Amino acid sequence: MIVVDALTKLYGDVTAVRSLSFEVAPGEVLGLVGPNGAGKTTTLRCLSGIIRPTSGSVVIAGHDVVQDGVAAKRELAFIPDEPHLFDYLTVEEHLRFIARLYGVADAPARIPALLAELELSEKMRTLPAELSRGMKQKLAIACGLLHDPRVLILDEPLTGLDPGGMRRMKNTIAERAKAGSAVILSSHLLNLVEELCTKLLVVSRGSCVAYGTLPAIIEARPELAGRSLEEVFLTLTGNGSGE
Amino acid sequence: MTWSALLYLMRTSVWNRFSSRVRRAREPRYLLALVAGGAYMWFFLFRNIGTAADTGHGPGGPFLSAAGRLIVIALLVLGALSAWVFGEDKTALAFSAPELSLLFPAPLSRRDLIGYKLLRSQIAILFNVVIWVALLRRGGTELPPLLRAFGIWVLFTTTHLHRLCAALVRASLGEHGRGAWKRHWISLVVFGVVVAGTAVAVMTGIRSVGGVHDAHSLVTAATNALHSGVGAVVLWPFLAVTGPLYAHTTAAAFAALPWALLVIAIHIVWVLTADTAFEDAAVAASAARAARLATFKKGRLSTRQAKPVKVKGSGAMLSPVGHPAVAVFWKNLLCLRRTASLRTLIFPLLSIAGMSALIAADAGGVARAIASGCAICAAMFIIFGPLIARNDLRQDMLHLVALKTLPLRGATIVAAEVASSALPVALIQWVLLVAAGVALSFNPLPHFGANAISVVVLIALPTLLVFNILLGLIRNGAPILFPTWIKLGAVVGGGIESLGQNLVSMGFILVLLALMLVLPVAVAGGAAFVLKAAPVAGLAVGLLGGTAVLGAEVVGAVELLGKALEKTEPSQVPG
Repeated sequence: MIVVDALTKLYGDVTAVRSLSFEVAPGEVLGLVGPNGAGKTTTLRCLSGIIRPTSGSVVIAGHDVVQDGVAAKRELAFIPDEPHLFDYLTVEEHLRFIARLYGVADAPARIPALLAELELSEKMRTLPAELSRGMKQKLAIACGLLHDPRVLILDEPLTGLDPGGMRRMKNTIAERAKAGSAVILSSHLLNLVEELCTKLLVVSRGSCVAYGTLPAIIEARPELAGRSLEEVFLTLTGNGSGE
Repeated sequence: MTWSALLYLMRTSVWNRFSSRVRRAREPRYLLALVAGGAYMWFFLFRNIGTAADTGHGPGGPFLSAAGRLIVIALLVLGALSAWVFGEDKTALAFSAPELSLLFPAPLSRRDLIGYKLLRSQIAILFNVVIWVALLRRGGTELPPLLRAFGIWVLFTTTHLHRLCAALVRASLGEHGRGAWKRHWISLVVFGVVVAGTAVAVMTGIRSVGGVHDAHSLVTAATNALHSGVGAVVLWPFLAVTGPLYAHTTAAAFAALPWALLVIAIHIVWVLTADTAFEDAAVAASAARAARLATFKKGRLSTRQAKPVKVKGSGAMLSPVGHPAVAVFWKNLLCLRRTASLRTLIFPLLSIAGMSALIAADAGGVARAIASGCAICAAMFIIFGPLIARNDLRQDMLHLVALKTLPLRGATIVAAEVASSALPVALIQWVLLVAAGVALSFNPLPHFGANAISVVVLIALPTLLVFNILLGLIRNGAPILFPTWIKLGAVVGGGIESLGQNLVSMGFILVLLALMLVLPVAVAGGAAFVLKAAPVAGLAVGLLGGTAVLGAEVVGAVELLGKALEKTEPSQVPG
C-alpha cells in the first residue's frame, strides 16, 4: 500500500532525510520514531505530497506521489501534529468542504455520526478560533477520516487530546488498520507505538537506524534483548547507553 | 540583580534584532527591501532635515504653531479623558506573550515589571520621535532638530506614562471596587478637579472668542484663555509638556524644559508607587493586543482588534458530489461573507456621491453625473476590490500544508482561489457599469450612443471577470513564485524593511500588469482601428478580442502558477 524507495530530501546543503526505504502493507501500522530533528515530519510530508522528495520515490496505493499526486492524495489522509484549519469555516463546514473535495456521497449521513463519535456535535456551528486545542485536533482527525482513506499518516495524533479522546483515537487507529488501511504513526509516546504498531522505523539524523518488527530489530541487535522499548530507542539513536 | 537581568533582556533583544536584520540584508531580497524602504524614508522624510528648508517660519508660521499647540492640547485632554472615563486604551498594560510567561512568574515585584515596561516603551517612543521630527519639519517652528526631537519625546513619554497611570488605577478599581477608591483618592480627586476646571476653562474660552470672526483672532483669543484664569491652573500640565515643542526660540525651549521634566517625574513617581494588582488586567490587555496583531498579520486593513466573527448561515449548501474545485470556491466565499465589512465600502460610496455632485454641478446633468459616479466607483474597485476581497491565496498560503494535501492539481487550486476573490469584485463593478449605462441612456454622450452603451455593458462582464482574475493572479502569483519576498503575515516585522518590501511588491505588481496588458490592449486597439468605419462593431470586436487574448494569458498564468504552487514548500512560506 505504501512503498518508499531511497527517499532523500535536501534543504540546500542539509540532508533532512537520507535514502529511506520501507513498505507498509494493508493492515500494518508502522511506528516512525526518532529524536527531535531526525527527519520524521519531513518524511511524513514527503509521503503526503506536501513537499517533493529530492530523489527516490513514494508510491501510495499504486500512485506515485510526484507523478500522480492527485490520485495518491485521494487515497490518503495526513493528520499533522498541529491542526491546520481554515479560520472562517465552522466545524460542520470543514467536513462539508472535505466531503466535496473527496466526493463522499454519503457525507450527510456520516458527518453527524463522526461528530458524535468525536464529541463535536455541540460545536457544529463553531469556528476554529473558539475551539480548544484538543477540539481542533479532533476536527482535524474527523477531516482525515471522513473519506475513509486507505492510507493514514499521523504525526503525533494524540497531542492535545484528553484521556477519553486518546483512548478513542487509539481504538480508531487499530480499527482502521484492522479494516485494511495502511497506517504510519509518528510519535514520541513510545508506549503508544508499542501498543499499536506492528513494525518500527527508527530514524536518526535523517537515516534509518532500524526497521522491522520489534523482535526482528532485537534479533539483529542481540544486546538489546530484554530491554524496554525506551531503552532500545535510546540505544539505537545514540541518545543513551540504554542501561 | 533583578534590574541587571531586565536590562540584559532589553539590551540583547535590541542588539539581536538589529544584528539579525543586518545578517538578513546579505540576502538580495532583504537588501532590496531595505534599500527601497530607506530610499523612500530619506526622500520623503529626512532629505531636508537640518537644511534651510527644514527650519524657520513659513508664511503664517507663528499662527500655525499656536493653532497646532491648541489642537495638540485638545487632543491630549480628550485622550486623557478617554483613558480615564472609557478605559479606551486597553493595551496600555499589555505585555508580550513571552514576557507574560517568563517575567510574571519570575521573582519580580510589580514595580519591577512596570519599570521594565516603561523602559522598554522608550524604544518605540524614540523610533516614533525620529519619524515625527521629520514629519513636523514644516510645523512652523524655529527649533533645531535635536530640540524638536526632545520636545516630541516629552510629549510621547508623558502621554504613555499617563495612559499607564489611568490603566493602573482603572485596573485597581476593577479589581478591588470601593477598596481601591481609598488608595487612589488623590488621583481621582485630581482627575475630578482637572475635568471640572477644564469645563470651566472651555466655557470661559468660548465666551471670550464669541465675538471673533477670523481664524487668527480666534487662535489668539483661545491661547490667551488658556494662559489665564482657571485654564492656566488646571491645564498647566498640558501647557508644560507642550512648552518645549512649541517654543519659538531655543532659549524659550530651554526655559520650558524643567517644567516638562517635572511633569514626567511626577508621572514616573505616580506609576512606580501605584503598586496596583494589575496582573489580571495585564493578561486581558495582552490577549487583546495579541488578537490585534493576529488580525494585522492576516492582512486585514485595520489593526483594530477583530470582533468575534459571527457565523452567518452558509447560504448555498455544498453538495458532497461535483467538481471538487467548487469546494475551494465555496470555502472562500464563506470567508468573504464573514470577513468583508461594509465599513470598507464607505469611502468608495462617499466618493461616488461626491464625484456625482461635482459633475452634476457642471452642465452635464444628473444622468451623466450618476453615470460618471458609477463608472468612477467601478474603476476605484480595481484598487479597493482586492483590499476588501482577500479570500484567496493571500490568506490560504498561510495554510499551505492543508492546501497541499487537497486532492487537486495546483492549477485547479490557483484557479479556484483567484476566482473566489475576482468574481465578487467583477460582479460589483459590472453592476456599477450597468447602472452607469442605464443612467447614460437618458442623456447619451455625442459619440457614445445607446448601441455603444449596450455593447460595453454586455461585454463588460467577461472582460471585468478576466481582468480581475489577471489582477488576482498577479497578486497571488507573487507569494507563490517569491514566497519569501512577499508579505503574507509577519514576514519581516515592521520598520524600513517592511516598508521597502511593500514598495517592491507594489512595483512588481504594476510592472507585471503593464506587461500583461500590452498584447490585449494592442489587439483591442488594432480591431477598433481596422473597424473605425463602424465604431460600434469596432468597439465590440476590440473588447472581445482583447478579452480573448487576456483570457489566453490568464489560462497560461494559471498553469504556470499551479506548477509553481506544487513545488512550493511550507518552509518557504513565512508567517
